[in-house]
Amino acid sequence: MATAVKAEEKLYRVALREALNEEMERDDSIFLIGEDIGKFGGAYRVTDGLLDKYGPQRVVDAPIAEEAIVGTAIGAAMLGLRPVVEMMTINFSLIAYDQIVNNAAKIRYMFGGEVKVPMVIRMPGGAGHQLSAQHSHSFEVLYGLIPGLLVVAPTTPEDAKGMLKSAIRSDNPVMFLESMSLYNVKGEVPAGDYTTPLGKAALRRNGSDVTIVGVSRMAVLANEAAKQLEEEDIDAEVIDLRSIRPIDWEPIVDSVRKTSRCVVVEEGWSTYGVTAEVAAGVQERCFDYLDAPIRRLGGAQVPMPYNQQLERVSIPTSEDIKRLVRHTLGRKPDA
Amino acid sequence: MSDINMPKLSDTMEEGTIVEWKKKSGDEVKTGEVLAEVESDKATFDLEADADGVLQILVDQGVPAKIGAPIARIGEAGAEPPPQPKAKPKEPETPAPVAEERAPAQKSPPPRETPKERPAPARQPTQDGQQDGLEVKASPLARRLAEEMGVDLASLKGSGPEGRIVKEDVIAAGGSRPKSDRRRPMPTTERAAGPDVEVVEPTRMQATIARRMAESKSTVPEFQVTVEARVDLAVSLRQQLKDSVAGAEKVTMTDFLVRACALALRKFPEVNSSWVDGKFQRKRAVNIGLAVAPSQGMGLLVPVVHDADIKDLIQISIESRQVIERARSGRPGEGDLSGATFSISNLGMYGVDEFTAIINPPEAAILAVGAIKDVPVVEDGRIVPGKVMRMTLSVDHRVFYGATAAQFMAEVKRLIENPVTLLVSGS
Repeated sequence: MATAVKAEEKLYRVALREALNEEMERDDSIFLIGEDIGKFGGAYRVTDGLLDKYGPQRVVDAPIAEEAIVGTAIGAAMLGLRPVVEMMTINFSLIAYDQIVNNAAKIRYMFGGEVKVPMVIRMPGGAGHQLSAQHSHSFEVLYGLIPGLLVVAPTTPEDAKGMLKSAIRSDNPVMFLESMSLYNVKGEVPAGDYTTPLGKAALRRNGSDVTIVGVSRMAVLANEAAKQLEEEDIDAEVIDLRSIRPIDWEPIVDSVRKTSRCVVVEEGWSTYGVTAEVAAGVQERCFDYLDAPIRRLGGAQVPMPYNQQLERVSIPTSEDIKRLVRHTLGRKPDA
Repeated sequence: MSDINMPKLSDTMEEGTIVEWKKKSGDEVKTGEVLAEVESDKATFDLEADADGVLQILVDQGVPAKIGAPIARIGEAGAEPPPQPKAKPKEPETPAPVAEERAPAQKSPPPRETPKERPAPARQPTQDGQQDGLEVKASPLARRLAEEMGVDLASLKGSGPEGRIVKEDVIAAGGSRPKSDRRRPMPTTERAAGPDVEVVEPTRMQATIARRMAESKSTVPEFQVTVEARVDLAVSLRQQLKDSVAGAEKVTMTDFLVRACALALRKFPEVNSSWVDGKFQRKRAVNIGLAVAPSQGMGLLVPVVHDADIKDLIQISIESRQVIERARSGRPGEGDLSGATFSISNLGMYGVDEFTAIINPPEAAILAVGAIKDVPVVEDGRIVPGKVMRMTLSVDHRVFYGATAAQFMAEVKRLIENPVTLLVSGS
């Protein structure tokens, strides 16, 4: 029997740091670049301590110039290095959007496969911290719609570490979407080296009445909602989408064919959203199995308010999920 | 009369959309009854009646309405239905699926089709219980199940969201059915009533056949040999005989085969044998059984042409017809159904190409004969039309072996292909 790998409870941010550290130890072509990631240890303390260990050649404090940061990383990746970019938040990635969409995603294709862009862009997103309209985005969909990119959103510390390692080892650009609200979440993380595959959804909970597909942090809320719905004799199955591009249809389709009902939840705007894509795909694949319309839940279709109360009601909650599930099952929305 | 306005369902809500009216204009509604499902920017809610009365819908489903805008009206129960507001200037705010900017420009517009319900008297359920003109609302799964189970959706009341007929409703109406059967199509025609399996007593003949065939298959180690014979000459000879020889008017291809087999059996006495108690029994007589169907009912008769090797073709023809008739009439003569040393089963008249027959112990072999077919055959390097017939010999391997079987079949083939040999004695 192989040595049992002991899982230890760790913070999501610590799991990420472990992945970076272990990968940098393993492969010295990996370097980090971003704003305040060195001396300051990162705006969310993910890269804390790595400058001391690896030095300024491999942990690069960049000026506030996102386009230049990503452009630098793309060039380095084309020439054989494996950069890991930290965008302070996903909101700032808009400035680098041209580099990401027009260069990172397309270079391998346009050069006939002769050059690759093995690059990771880590970026936290999401609302809930009174960061107001410009700094509270959930932009999964902006990257999810670009062929040439891999887009993932881990929701557990275990996945955070395993998927970041897979992302770093991937030969293609990976948009690694972290959630600000999950950095302080604790969870079991296996010790040592392991990877979690990109492109795979995760079944978080078995159930027979309805399938809830959650995107990023909403998968965590979906799980909470499902637990609470147990008391109402509702048996919900929960799928954590994990991979926004590509979407892993198999477990979703299997689940909906079993439950006949589907609710899809994201924090971002659901119009043209990831939930729209999932709902459309489920409809195409499961039409004859559906016993109720597929329902979507997303954030309020407004620029995120600064006011705390307004912000609170603009983000989907587990109560909202429960209400929609009840409705889908033909019950009164408010229990 | 009370107006129902678009409610404010969340702090961020500015307008709402009626996802689904659960009632129709003209319906009597009671306080607290769910009228519609309303969707805000965050979720969906049920809209309840705040008064008793007759509902009049002002905003169609799918059309957004601002918070506070009137979306329906509840009038007095029992009163005349309110006159339909035909695009009166009093109601310019009635939201319709047109761009809002255009509203001010409208002055007494031509009677544009309103998105509203038809004029009163309000609709009533038709006799069959279906709402007139409205599709039955059912989930795709429920529709599929209903079709598979033969359940009429129009007769069901939905228990799902917005009164939709869901799986459970169909199953409750149609009786449960295991999931694995879902895809099985329903038979399109009615099956006659009765038990699934009918038990039928066999006749004694059928019981005997069953026993003997099972015995044959389980005790006789058999193998088959098939040959194809050109029968152009046999066919034309048969026609000549029928046309010009007295007594041969009814000669058949089976008669040719009886004669051919009889001659071949005399040449290969191993075939005209049996395996009994660990010893070979060579039969002096060549008696050929003919497998025929009885004239009525299911079964099998094997009338026997005795001493076929010493009878000419015409005799065989006459005798086989007589013995078959006697057997079919149910009054067989003595020996008519016994003593066969070899059998022939000809299904050619049914169009069978070829088949294998089961040996009737203690006989050592049986010849299965297929239909005569017109085929292209290669003759001296050229393709010419020809007539062929395939024959398969089933052999009891205890009695004789492959080489003998092949030689025997080659002889039968030679005789049939050169049918003049069947006309002379001692060929």
